[in-house]
Amino acid sequence: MRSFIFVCLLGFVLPSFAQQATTSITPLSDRLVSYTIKAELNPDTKTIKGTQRLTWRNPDSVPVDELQFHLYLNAFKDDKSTFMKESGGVHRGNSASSENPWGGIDISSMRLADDEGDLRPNLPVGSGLDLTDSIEFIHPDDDNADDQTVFLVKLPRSVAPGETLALDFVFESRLPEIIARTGWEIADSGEPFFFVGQWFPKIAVLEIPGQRYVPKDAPKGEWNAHQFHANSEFYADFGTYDVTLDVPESYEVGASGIKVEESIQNGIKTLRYKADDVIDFAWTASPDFLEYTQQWRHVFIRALIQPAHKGQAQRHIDAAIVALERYDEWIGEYPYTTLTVVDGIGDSNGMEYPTLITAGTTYGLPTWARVLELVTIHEFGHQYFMGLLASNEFEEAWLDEGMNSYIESRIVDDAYGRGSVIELGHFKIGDIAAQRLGYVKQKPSKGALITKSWEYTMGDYGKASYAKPATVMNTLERYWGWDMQQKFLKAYYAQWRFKHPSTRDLQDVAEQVSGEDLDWFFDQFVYGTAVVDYAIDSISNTKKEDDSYSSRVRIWRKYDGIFPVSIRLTFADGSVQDQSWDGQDEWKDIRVAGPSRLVEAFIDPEFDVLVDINRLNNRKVVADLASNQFARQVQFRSITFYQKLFFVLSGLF
Amino acid sequence: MSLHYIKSGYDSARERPALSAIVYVGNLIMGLILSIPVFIALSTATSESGFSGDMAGEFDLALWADMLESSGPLLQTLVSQLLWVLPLLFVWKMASSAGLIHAQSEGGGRSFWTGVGRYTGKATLLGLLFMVPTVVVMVVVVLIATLLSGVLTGEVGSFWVQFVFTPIALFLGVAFIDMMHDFGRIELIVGKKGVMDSWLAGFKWPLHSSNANSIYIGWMVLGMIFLILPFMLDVSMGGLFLAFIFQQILLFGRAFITVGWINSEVAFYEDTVPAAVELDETEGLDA
Repeated sequence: MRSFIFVCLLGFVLPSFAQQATTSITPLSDRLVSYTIKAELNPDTKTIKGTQRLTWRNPDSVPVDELQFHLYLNAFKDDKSTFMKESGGVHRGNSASSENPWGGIDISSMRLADDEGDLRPNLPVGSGLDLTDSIEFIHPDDDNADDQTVFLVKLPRSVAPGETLALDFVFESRLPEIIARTGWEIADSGEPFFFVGQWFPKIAVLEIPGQRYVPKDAPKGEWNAHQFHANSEFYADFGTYDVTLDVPESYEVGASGIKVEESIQNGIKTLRYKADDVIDFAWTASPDFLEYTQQWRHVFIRALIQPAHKGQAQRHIDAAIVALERYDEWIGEYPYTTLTVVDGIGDSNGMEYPTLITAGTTYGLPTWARVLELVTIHEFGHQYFMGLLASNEFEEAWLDEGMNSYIESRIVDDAYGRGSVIELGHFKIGDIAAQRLGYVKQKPSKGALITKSWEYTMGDYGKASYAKPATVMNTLERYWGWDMQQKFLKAYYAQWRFKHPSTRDLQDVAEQVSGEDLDWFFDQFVYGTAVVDYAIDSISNTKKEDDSYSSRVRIWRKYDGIFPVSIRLTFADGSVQDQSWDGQDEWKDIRVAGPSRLVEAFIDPEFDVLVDINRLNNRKVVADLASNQFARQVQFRSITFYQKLFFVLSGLF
Repeated sequence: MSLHYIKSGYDSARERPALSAIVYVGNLIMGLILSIPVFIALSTATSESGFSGDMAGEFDLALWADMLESSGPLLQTLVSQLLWVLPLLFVWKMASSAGLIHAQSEGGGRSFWTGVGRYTGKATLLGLLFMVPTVVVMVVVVLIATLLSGVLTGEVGSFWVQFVFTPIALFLGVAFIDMMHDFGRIELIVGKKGVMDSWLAGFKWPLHSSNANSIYIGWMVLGMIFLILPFMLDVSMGGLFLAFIFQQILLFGRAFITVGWINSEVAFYEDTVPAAVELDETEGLDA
């Protein structure tokens, strides 16, 4: 009977979820914006013609007379954009190869809507509605007058607090050859592949007093609009999207949100998608995609796979489920009812948009190399940090990429074990260990987590936005335990989802949950660039007249970073003594006396302080217990390696 | 027919294990010399760290990174050592091959070291000459691979060209030249030909005789097995001392195969080509 009721309930719940984009029938976010877009893809010209109705509600307590917008596709308009200058036309190793790789977006009409009086009752009528000629490109982040990725318009009349404004756009997007995850590429089949992101005029965020770093007593809000940069692309308000796409009949499409309509007429497939409580909308189209689906609880998982990778389709879905299960348990519910995992081409891979992610693999990828799983789990994690919490990626990239990399490393190691990334015989590399290495061996004293994404020097962005925050957060977890960390993560998500938290907000939650002032931690490792390295400098023993020993361990704090550590002392009779140290002093002598001499000192034996940049010097044994076991073993292995190599090379002579 | 020669090679190698020992020890000594800086670097970095036992037990990325950071300069000397190891290996291969051919010609029982002393110089010259076709084959394979890339396009095509065709073609091409080289050396030592004549004569063997091919391929397959097995042991057993011992046994087996391989080729050559050698009466039996 219970089963029967459960099945009936399931039958009731699932179909209803299938009709809605989130698990909630009421809005989850404040929905300041709504986009209704009709777009038509022309595969021959690689262009999209679109019309768009945008509504925006003024969240401020004072009238607004100016709007700011993103036109991020213009980052690929020519080599003069800020993105192209910062990246040199090469994004994560990918560069354009065709004769005309450029893209861009042209707005042929932008006007205040005049067909829905309830939205905008006091608008002037007639020509005063047309704002096209008022478009003024601005460059708030640099002095690059050639950059056209942000524009403003002065309104003919201000928008009152709480009032909703409607704007109509007619635009054409010229897709570039894929760069920074956007554009087209000719697939191996000869057919075009499209990944369409940052493709429509999008309103920026008006930060109101008290929001993020705008002072509470500020007289009015401030537009937070950044140009498109090489390393960051997300900051937008939550809202609803109703998007209708026309593509050739043979194309398979993946998009943010849920598909609510599909029809075919005269060789054109028309699809309508709805996405609620999201910050963006992206889509992909290709005649080559193979579709694989699987239901996980309330989430309909869809994998769009390149034909060459069909043998790896289930790996994509399994990795997505691994992520869904753990995010659900550790952070909070995934509120959307769909997730589309796209196996894209080239630089389209490894990217996130609301309910739509790209993973990426290669033909013949062995199962012992879990790159595919790692990327899928990472990109899924952005659904939370980029999508649901929606921090400002331009100004605080670590809140998205870094927190996501932390959870990713935790999930990957939890799901796949010690060799979670690479597992080849005895050669095992885990994700947490790999992330740590990306920080501690890459100039750890450079690159604070809080740095505007375009102000990092070369190489520091990746470290400071991915590897370092992952290691810092893994260290925090080990500092106060997984239970406290989980409380903190759940509270952070519960309090701040759909609200654009800042670093200060995250620290506040951590302090509220733990009841501990964490300035010492955040000042060093989030706002600062403190480097932790504790080393055992020496061990000495003095035999006393009564045959007992006086022993001393000298510890050296080699850099400016301070972290409380434990020190394990092991004596010749096998006894062990653990001590705690606040880690403050540059030099620290620990003196002990007893019947047995001290033979080993070990700082942080449990390896809790992952930010310590050198573990090898954390431990020391007295000279007579020195062991060459490892050196000898590697020597033996290298001898046999050379012997084999010589036999092989002999064939060349 | 070829099985007969392979069995003959096996019998000969079994009768004179000292020859296998020479080949094995030669390689072992060179490997040992190269491994000394590795040992010093790792010993300096880890012996007093207390981590030595842990690191011997399992791979630890953090500790390895620290160790490589501290031992980097010393380990980098391994690369510069190739400057003298590769020429030494070349000369050793020429010398040992000359010794093995001489020792196993004329029904066997001849001196390895006399062969080394008498023919190493000429064999080295011959070896240098055979580098020319080796390089030509490599260039041709790369050219074919490039052309194939134009036909087998796309991700799947590239995979097959880069990871399947090219390595296999390079392997087979080099093996083809190596077989010519083997018989060229036999022409030089057993056939008493000059260096240039031996070089030219060596080219005909892969085309001239299916038995020569069968003998070469048979021993090559056995040789590959005896190189793959130590690799598998290394992967499955890690750095256990027991694994090292097993690997050394297998590598001795690989040296044994080299001896048997050359014996088979010499025996086949002597059965095919009329003898042109005069036994040096002064030679004694040694290794």
